[in-house]
Amino acid sequence: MSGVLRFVRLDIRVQQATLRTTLAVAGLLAVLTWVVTPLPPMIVAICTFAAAIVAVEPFRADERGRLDVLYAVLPVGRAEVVWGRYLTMLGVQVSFAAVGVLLAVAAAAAKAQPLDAGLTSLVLAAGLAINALVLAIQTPVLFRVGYARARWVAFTPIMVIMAIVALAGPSGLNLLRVASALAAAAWLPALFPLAGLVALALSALASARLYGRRDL
Amino acid sequence: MNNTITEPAAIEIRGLRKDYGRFRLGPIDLDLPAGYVTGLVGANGAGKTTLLKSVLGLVRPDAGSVQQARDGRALPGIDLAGTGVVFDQLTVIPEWTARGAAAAIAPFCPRWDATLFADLLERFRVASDARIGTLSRGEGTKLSLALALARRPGLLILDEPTSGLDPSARRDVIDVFAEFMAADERHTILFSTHITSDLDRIADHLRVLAGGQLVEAGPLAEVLERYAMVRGPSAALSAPARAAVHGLREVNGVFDALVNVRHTALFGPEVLIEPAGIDDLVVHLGRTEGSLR
Repeated sequence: MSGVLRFVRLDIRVQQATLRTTLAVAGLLAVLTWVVTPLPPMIVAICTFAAAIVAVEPFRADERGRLDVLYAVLPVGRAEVVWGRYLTMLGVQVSFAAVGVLLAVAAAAAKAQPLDAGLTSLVLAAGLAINALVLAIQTPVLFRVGYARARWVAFTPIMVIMAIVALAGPSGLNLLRVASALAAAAWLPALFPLAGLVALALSALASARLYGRRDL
Repeated sequence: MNNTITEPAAIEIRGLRKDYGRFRLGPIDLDLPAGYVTGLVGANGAGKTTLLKSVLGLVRPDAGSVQQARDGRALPGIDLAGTGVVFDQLTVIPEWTARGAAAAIAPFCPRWDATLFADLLERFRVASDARIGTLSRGEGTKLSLALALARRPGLLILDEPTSGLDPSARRDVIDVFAEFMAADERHTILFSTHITSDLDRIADHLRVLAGGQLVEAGPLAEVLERYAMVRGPSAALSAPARAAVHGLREVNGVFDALVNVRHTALFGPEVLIEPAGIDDLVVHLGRTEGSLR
């Protein structure tokens, strides 16, 4: 097994220990959305947003358990730690999105509504792309200075959402127009996650370089 | 100080330098003899932890090299697969159990010995299913030691492993180090500590750091034989004697200091001359400014 996969296993073990908090946050948000929203696809949006919020958790665990020191004294390279962490984060994002889709399907069935597949896949693709952007921005900072000195990056998802809302204009009409146009082009939603993956790969390269130079 | 030893070196450090602005380590040349326990001592801020972190690759030195003897050759860096490390604090998350921590670490360690780990926990009376966050300081240290030894290392690097332990727990831990050394003649320990009585019990060699510099090095007995403590009335301290001592302290007209045994003839009969201990070296060499005489 490669060092990256070994690290992924270790990272999952770390995250399992703090999973209760993560699941509680995501579950609460999803249930609230189920109750409040008339649109089941919004549950997908909320779940992907929750995934972006909890993306800093592994770094917080690193700080609490001095795990960066543990990683450094294990026979695993720092670049392998970085790529392993990105893979774990990607897995968490996809898992949250998958749970969101399942909940949306369940909510639509419970409310006897048809689930708008086009809108759901657009929300899913956009959510994953936004999360990829969030991770691509915040993760190199976390690897460079650690969670204690970079707590502020936990606000990145909110800042990105606010930036998108601002771009949408005061009435939100611009965003709706863009969304309609995107929904019309069926191939575009597939492009979002692809662009997200490219952003993550570039971010991982930067993180590997920055983490490799960090004094622990 | 140039640290040349006759025994084959497990680790060779050459020209190591790390500059933090307000503190600079080195440049340091240091050999760690294979098959021995080497104590690393120095006052707070002397650079011990920075040196250990540089050796382990936790910090990037500004200059210099660290080489380890492997397969009959000196290769760059440390073979982490064959190295056990114990810090003064655990490096695992508090939600894990001891067994969980072992399960997380074992896949990285090709020589992981689960039986040894279980035996050590039992011997240390650390419950394998106890949450690490609930362990006492001593239990945490013992768990850390069990995790390090279960890797079946050839080299142990210890940074203040006995700090915060009661005398009984310290003795248990030192006994384990002694057993580790007895198990294989190639086993090597680098042991940084403030508790010099631990080194009196187990160390073969000594390295003293002060102000980021290596100021003394050699076999423990030889290093201690090089120095003596001098105590007496300040009035009895002649100018040549004052110039010869290290870390002179004067309180209420009485002085004490460390001196190289070559210079003991500079002191009159009213000055008490006694053998020096490791603590004396740490205290007085740490106060000496400039290079040693």
